[in-house]
Amino acid sequence: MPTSKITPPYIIGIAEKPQAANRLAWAIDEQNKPEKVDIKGVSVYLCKRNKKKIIIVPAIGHLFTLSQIGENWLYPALDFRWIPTYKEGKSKRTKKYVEVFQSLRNGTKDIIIMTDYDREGEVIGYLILKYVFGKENAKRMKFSTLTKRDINKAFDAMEKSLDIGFLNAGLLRHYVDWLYGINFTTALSNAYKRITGKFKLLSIGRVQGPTLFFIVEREEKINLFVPIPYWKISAEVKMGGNNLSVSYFKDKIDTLAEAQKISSECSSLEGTITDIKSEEKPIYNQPPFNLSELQRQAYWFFKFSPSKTLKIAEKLYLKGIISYPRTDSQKLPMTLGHKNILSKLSQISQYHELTEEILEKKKFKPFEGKKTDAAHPAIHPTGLPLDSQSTKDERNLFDLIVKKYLSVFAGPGKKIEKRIEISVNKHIFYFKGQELIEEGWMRYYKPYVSFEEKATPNVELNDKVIFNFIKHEKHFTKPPNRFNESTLLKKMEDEKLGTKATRADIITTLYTREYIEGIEIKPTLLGESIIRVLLKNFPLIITPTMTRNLEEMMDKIQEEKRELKSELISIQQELTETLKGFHEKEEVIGYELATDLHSMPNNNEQTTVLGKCPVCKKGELIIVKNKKTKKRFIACSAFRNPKIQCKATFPLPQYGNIYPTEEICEYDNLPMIKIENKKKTIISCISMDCPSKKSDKNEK
Amino acid sequence: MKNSIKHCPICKKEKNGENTFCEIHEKAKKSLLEGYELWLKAYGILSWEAYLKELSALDERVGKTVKEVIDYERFFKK
Repeated sequence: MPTSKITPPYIIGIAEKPQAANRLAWAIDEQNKPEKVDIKGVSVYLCKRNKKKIIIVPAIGHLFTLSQIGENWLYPALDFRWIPTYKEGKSKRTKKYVEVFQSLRNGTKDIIIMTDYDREGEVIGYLILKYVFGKENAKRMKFSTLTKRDINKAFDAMEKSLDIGFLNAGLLRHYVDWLYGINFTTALSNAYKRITGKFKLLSIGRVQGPTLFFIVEREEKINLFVPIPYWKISAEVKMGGNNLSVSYFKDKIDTLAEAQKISSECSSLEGTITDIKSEEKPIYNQPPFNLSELQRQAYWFFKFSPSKTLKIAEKLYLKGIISYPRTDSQKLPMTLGHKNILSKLSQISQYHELTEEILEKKKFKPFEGKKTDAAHPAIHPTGLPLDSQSTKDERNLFDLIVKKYLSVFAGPGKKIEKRIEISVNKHIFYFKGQELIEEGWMRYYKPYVSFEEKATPNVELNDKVIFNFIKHEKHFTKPPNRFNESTLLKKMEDEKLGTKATRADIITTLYTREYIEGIEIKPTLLGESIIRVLLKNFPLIITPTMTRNLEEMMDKIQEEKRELKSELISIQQELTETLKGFHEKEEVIGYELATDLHSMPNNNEQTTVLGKCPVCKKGELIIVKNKKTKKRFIACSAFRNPKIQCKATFPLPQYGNIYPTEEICEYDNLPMIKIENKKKTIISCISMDCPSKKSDKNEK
Repeated sequence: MKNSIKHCPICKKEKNGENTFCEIHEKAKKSLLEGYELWLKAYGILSWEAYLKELSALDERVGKTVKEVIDYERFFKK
């Protein structure tokens, strides 16, 4: 029931997060003084605008989740429904938010979706609309920053409908992730249990699989690496009164003989300058930040993990200090009002001097990259300063974003590259120097960029040059580097795996599930095993092609070139076929997983082999012990192999030592064994029914 | 006859057919042989034993699985 302060009728504004609701309410209320009302411990905001009552109510991200219809741990699982997240036992704090929306339902005469403008924001708003208010559509505000200017602009120009393309693409992602996640996790866990009898949660997701595959593939390359020797010629010359290092024209020499030959042929230790080149070159600007580039640079400069960068950027966005960070765009359209942003930034003391320089030039067309995003521009500051409670991490990230923004208003830098060519006995050495002649954009991006100057000596053509020394040094090729979170994120982006919003979380999930470890990322035994088994049996699940195709399909749905329903049906059909194949191979997969994870019974016991199995002709007869009774007997090694499952067994005496003999019984062609105890040693056929034993008894 | 003939002598995992090692150690052996070709080219003359000894001395720069095959070749093969 609404509280006394909130009397119907009213318009409900659905915000994505509590802090966003606060900023939206502040901007939308005509007096910028919305009334804060507490319902069930959730702050909602009562605003007045154009004589209308608008209540802005926050969600806390997703309030609904997909849930399986039917029995758990069976696959294929293709039927699902949306239910409140707290009913799945997850995110219990979402309960009060759902109840707040429910309590305001009856007095609602209109609804405006004010969630972040992207696929997820559309889905969050839509699910509340559908499952709390029973509606399919509502008005939509679209904004990229939580500034008063942008919010009011979005309010005045609000759309009459949700963005159906965004919504359907977002819904499809949820459906596909759920379908793949639940089915392959069930299938893998069941396969493992079938062989070992133990339950172990072995999960794999649509994007997780290929990402883990990259890590395992890289680790294998490192483990198989053989360093190869090569040689480098290093030399030092006296030129222009200075001792300077010069480099041989070939960077690497493949053979020791050639390296020795060069050293010896240059032993005259006097060279001649045969060429001097000087060239002016531009130092090109870098485009504005999209999320991936911001995450990469924040990792590089501050060692922030991608998920940490996103978290901090979201905080800055919710404070209205920067634009919406989940963007692919490298564009900064003029409509953002750059002059206004720069003027505001110039009031922040540390940026005053730099921004004033840009303002004086009156050139407000930024340098842009090629990448675009349908919903948001590149990440940029709004002009608002940090508040006094900001953390050091927030200050660092903010500084990086501001400096990048300032740098895109400046032109390229300029440098002069000089190359002096020195010849010795037909061998060529170079001295390379460079001087900065114009800082350009680098002036604004300090300390995140630097230029190393190397002065060139004043020499002329045909001058003689004295070599202080020439020598060859042995080096070895190096294995490829392990991924870190930043380079893995780049790899995912290059391979079109996941979205800018989900990539960082997927890496975190791989850590949480103990599939990977370390700052220099290594797969764990578990991670390696899952990839090895799936690569052998179902490569489609872990190679990037399938998930990349799905991302492209989502883009087409977003552009409304394809229909959600028909695409979902075809995905379900494909999945059913794949899972059918999985079911058929379940035992093989379970066996391989169990072997890899050292979960097979008697895994560490030494095996005594007595000879070839006479039944399946594939396995070997080995001595095994029953785990419960501790009694020993002979069995076929292929009994653990699901393809063979040979049931051949032979009894053994429980006392004395048993040894293989390599002899074969002349009666039934079975292996003979030596049985040794304190009293006697006998050589006997392993079969109780062997005619040799009957004839022995008869003789007695 | 105490060890199974069908197991990799390095890691005891099952191996296929006529192979000496399991799949991953076979790959490492292949890598080691390819490396030998390049080392031979680099030095002109180099015995297999000297090559293995040189690689052993490089320690952490050599891949873990390759190192296991080197140790097997040097100390356990005979």
